[in-house]
Amino acid sequence: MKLIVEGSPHFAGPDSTRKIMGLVCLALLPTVIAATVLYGLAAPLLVLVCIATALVCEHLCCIAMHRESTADDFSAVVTAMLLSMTLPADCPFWAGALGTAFAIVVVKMLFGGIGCNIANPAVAGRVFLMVALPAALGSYPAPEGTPLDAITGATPLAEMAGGAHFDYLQLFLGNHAGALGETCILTLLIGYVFLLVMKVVDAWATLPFIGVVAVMSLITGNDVVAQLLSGGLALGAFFMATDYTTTPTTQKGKIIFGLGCGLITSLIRFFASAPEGVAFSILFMNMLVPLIDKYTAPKPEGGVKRALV
Amino acid sequence: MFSLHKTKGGVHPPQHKDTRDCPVQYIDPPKKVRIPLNMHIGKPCEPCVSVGDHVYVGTLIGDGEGLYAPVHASISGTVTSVAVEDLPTGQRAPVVEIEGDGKMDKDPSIKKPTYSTKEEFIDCVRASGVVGLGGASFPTWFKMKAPAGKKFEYLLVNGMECEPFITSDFRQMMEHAGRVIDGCKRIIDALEIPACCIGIEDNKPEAIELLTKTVEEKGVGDKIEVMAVPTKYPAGGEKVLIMELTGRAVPAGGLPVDAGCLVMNVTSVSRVEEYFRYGEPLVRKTITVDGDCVKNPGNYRVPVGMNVRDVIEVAGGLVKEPRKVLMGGPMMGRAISSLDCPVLKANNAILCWDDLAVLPEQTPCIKCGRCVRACPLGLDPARLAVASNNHDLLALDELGVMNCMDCGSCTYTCPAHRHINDAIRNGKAFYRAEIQRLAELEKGGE
Ligand code: SF4
Ligand code: SF4
Repeated sequence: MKLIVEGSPHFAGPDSTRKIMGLVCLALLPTVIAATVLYGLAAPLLVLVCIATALVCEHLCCIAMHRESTADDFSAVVTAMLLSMTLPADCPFWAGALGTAFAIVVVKMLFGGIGCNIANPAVAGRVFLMVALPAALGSYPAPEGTPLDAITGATPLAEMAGGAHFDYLQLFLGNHAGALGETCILTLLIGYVFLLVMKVVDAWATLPFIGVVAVMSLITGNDVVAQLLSGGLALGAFFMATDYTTTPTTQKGKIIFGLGCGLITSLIRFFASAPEGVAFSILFMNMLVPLIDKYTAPKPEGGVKRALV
Repeated sequence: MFSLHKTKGGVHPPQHKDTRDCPVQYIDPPKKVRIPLNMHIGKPCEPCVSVGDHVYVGTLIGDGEGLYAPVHASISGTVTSVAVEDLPTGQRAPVVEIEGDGKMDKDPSIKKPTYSTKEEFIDCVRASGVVGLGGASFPTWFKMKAPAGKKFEYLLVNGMECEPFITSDFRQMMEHAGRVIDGCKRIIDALEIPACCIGIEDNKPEAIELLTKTVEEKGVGDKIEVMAVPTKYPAGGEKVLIMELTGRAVPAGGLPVDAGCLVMNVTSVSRVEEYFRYGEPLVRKTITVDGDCVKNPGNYRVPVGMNVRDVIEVAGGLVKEPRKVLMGGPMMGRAISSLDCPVLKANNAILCWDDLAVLPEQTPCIKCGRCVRACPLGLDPARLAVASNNHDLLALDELGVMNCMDCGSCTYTCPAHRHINDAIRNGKAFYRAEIQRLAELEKGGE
């Protein structure tokens, strides 16, 4: 009789990385459907192209790094879905693929793969595309069959900077020009609440993030509701500020992270020339995570008896 | 007297308490027992019998000094070997082997112990051979000695039994409620402890009800209180129990007495009382035998030192070949390499698994923070594991590696199935050795 001998505990909990990542993909699905309705078939095709690119890149990197492939844990799919959601529906497929490849190869795998990356790959991929290919992401197609007369238009944030006003319900439903996964707040909210209920994510970073943007819009005399309902705020606060690897682990740390994101987003939106700041703010706060983690480390019960120092 | 306090972390593993309604079965004595002499924390005992000696049930076979608990023969018969052996638990210990004569005669020198002072009482407890029977195996008498300047304000009795599968403490409470309460009374009287609280997880309402009723019947409600505690693993961890019932934290590197508490497992209390009633030292142990490979899962009262293989035989044998056998529960139990392993004093379960034997593969840490939230002691298990694997002495020191109580909540909850607890265990061993080495270097340098 050959018995397995290993250290305790001999029970494993019900969660697994694959399950968690799978749930995140599921949570993003309604938004993909909404994008299809709003912007046509190009939207889901772009998402699929990004997913395929991510899987191939992750698998090849794992081969090159002589390790077991992590392509099947759905984390690459999450990255690809999130990245594609920040792109306009008419973004050329090759540009989407390029951004995804950058996200997976440079931002994720070069840093050591899942769990080791410092920046959120999707956000970094998006910023990379913004900087490298401003033309491909410059314009946003308006939803099909809407009263907006231009086929491509400025996003609400850009228009708001020009003093335009918006119908809140239309903003909430995503019926306006924008990135394919950023406009429909309704489906983003459904996905986020689903993840909250499944205990995959919490609200410790999300609420302060949104809260600070709200307060800052109020202070600067902007339309608070319109600010909250437009741009990448919902996508960022729901799905990117809740990423595990690139945000702090403790409650306190998450709150600080959220506050920081909100503040930087507001500064960019209201004081810089750029209309959108969610991606930059998350990227910037990603860099501060090791520092935040250091100062918000959990306190051992009963203190620590140091033998050294 | 007592109220519940909030505790950190914890997890909710599936309970599998399928043997809770199996009354304890008394079994025929085995033909042979092998009794290790290190069934307690501290120094192993020196054997005080030699090959060929005749022993009775309760005859002293191992004694020592300092931090130790004496060991007694659990069956009557002849000593056939006294030797240092490697046990399938991974430990190495002097082992006394006794070939039984089937009579189970009690040692004629056994008599009801008497005491009049605190010191005499503690001496009797020492002679009983009782150790922490919840699994910790710390010598009970040693715990009872409050160091100068410190005193016990509470006796906390641990009836949580938060480990999945195990029901032996539950059976003890259900079948010997009077003995448990009398034991509590005796201990607090003898040690002059003002109050006693028995904490029981609220998944055992029958036990809570029965003990509460018994306390009332015996009219000791002014000193002893039974508390229902929300079910959560590891509510029965010593430090967690203290926090739960008193709101106090045991200072790092300290003992429960530093928080004014004496903590004892219910079965330990019951066994101490049994010793004072009948004079028979700890030689038998109630064990939950369970798992999908066992024919008749249940609770069995077996002599200490009985072979696991024989115990399983008593439980109807195996219905299929197990891939993993545990001594103890799934969270803190030890996987043994062979069934030729003696039952120890602090063992409370034998689990033979096929279905649950294989754990999921380890994947990279995704920094999700679940382990941090699960740690009842407020540690950072993920960072401790990394520091342990890197042999980073300074980080281990800073993160408080020695605080860890090996409860396994971190590993259990980890979605990447990292062997965090394993790593920290190694980290502790490394830390202990390094600190000792440094201390010696320092001494040498002076
Ligand atoms: S629970 Fe596991 S994956 Fe999550 S932070 Fe801890 S070690 Fe990493
Ligand atoms: S094993 Fe140690 S580090 Fe892990 S949860 Fe338990 S006490 Fe915390």
